[in-house]
Amino acid sequence: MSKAKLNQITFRQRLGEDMVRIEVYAPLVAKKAQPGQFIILRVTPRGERIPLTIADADVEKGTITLILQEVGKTTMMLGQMQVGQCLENLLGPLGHPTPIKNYGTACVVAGGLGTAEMYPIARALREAGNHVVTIVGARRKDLLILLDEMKSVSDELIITTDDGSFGRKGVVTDPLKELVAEDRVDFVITCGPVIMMKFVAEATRGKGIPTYASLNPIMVDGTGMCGSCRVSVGGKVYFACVDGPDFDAHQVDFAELMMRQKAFVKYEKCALEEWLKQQEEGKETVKAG
Amino acid sequence: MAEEQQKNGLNESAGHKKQVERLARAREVAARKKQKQKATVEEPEIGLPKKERLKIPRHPMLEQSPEERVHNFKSVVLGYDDETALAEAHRCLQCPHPKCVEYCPAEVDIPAFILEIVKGDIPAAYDILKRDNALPAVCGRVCPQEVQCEMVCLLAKKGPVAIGRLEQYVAEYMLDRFETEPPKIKKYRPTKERVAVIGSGPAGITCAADLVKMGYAVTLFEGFHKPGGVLSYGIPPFRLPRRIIASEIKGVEAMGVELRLDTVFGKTITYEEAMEMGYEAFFLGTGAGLPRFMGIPGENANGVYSANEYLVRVNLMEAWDFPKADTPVFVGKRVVTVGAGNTAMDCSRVSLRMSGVEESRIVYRRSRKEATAHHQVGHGAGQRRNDADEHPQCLRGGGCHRGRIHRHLRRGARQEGSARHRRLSDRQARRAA
Repeated sequence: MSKAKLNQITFRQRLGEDMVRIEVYAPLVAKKAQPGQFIILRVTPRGERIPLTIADADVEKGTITLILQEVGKTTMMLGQMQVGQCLENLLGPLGHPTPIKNYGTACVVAGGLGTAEMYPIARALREAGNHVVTIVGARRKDLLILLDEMKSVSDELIITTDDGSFGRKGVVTDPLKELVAEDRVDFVITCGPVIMMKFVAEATRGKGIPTYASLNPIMVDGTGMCGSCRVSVGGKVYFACVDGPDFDAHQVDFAELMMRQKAFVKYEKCALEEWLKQQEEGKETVKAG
Repeated sequence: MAEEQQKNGLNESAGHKKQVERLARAREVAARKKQKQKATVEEPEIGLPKKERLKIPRHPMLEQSPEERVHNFKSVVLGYDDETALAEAHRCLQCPHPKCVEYCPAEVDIPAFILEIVKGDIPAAYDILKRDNALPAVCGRVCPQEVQCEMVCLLAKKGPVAIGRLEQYVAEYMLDRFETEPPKIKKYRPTKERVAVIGSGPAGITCAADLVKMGYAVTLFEGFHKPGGVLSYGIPPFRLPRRIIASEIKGVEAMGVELRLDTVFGKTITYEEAMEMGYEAFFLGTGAGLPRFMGIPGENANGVYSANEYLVRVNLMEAWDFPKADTPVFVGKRVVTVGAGNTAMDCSRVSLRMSGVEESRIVYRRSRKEATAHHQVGHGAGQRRNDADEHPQCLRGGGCHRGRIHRHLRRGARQEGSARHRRLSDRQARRAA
């Protein structure tokens, strides 16, 4: 293969119903990406900037792996892009890397798309000598992603689904509570829906187990200059893009985060509907690189 | 035009020595440019006699009417036309010891460029501007001339020479011309070390342009996907049309500056990497700063934005054109801007233009007199501006505040030159609104 262009998609794979894994050629980002960091990209010239976790990086190939869930206009357009096409732009790596060291037994709790973010972290924790217990949860079987990858980097892997279609029936906090009750956990890190992270924090609060949550607020620039991603942690305001994205889960104001995530629901819906309408009329084509 | 000038041109006897010197210098520039109207330069003084010049009043700027401009993001000021610019240029007395130059941070040779306008040699005027200032098109529009060059103009009392507007005229005249005949910009071949200029805002652009002229190999790093820094994300398009920024960036690129977008220095490229790449000097033009929140209850509500977020969404991401542009911004019906600096004025003026907004107010803890916004920036801000004698105590949802608002103020007239404001009673203000 000839040398890839900057921000070109070099690999694409559909993971289940609404999730897509892509690899993008961004050698400078790949070279420095650490677990827990993210990038910001745009798909079209007048598109919005969206943050995505760096799920993996290949320094030799110069590519980074991104996993996205098609929930809105931008992610849907991105999901439709094919190998060979180029993103409008990509900026990274952003945010602080997750603090990795040997904690003893580290429990990685991932929900839905959060699995993509937890994968490199689980791997790094294991490489640092931790006994890694991974709990992955989703609503249904077909929404589970990266199970093989997670298995390869975990000493124990527990899977839960809300409807019991795969693994244990229930939510991720059920097995976590058991582990906590058995005093088997020294460190917990979680990423997923805000409500899930909130209950993970509650599960470990009693015993005071260090718990980090990787937060995912709305961002614009990702470099700390706008404050769109501000979160309250322990009564203080932090910018998730430059101070995070990992914060002490016991201190995070999850209710506020949930409220702030919903700031543009109406607009997002409007943009998506508009776009779907245009799609039907066949007017818009994703810009080819 | 040439004929007219010759007719008007000069019967007065020789002026001061220095003036002659300046003329000589201007003459050189003009000659080099091989312009048509060389003939008029032969006289020691150009244009009207002084007495005549003093009689010309300062020319008002044409602008979009308030009713019209609150519905668009197009330039508020329309600029001088050729005749107005020529007449305004005639007002300059060509002082032997020009204070305006002293008070210009870039020390632009103001009388010299104005003289070139009088002579009708706009390209020469542009060259003079460009010699000391990399961004004349930007400065003509956003410089606070009223507290710099124009403040110390000998004519300040009766209306200073409109230096800013003339600068804008010259720069935009050339911009229009560049569209049909691209400028012949000298490309500098680097002979010296590599320099990293971090941040492509006004500081970075200026620094990059100067360094590349000195022979350095300059790379301009920008974190955003668009260059220009505060010019792109901060200053709204109705105050600084985007074509001006694009043209300035194209200018420095043509001079040989390499532009790297989407690069957060220290993240995308680390300092060590940059050293390996051969960069030997670094210029940090990283900008004005980060938002500081006040720490009052409710400020993390969804309807509360930092100015940076609000302006980035609207100006850089073009949220004003949502859903054609993908980035949304929530504004609601009534907008309150806290603060009365230039940025506050920009926020307030942007708000007025957003669809669905019925009222845009400014809340400030001091009086109007202490407001730090420059006149031209505040010009046209707020439908109604309020003085608040207290800090806002609480923000909720869309941003209501509990500070006691004790007086409504309204601009008596929106034209330039009548910046006095009438104080209205609350009832009058309501009626006026």
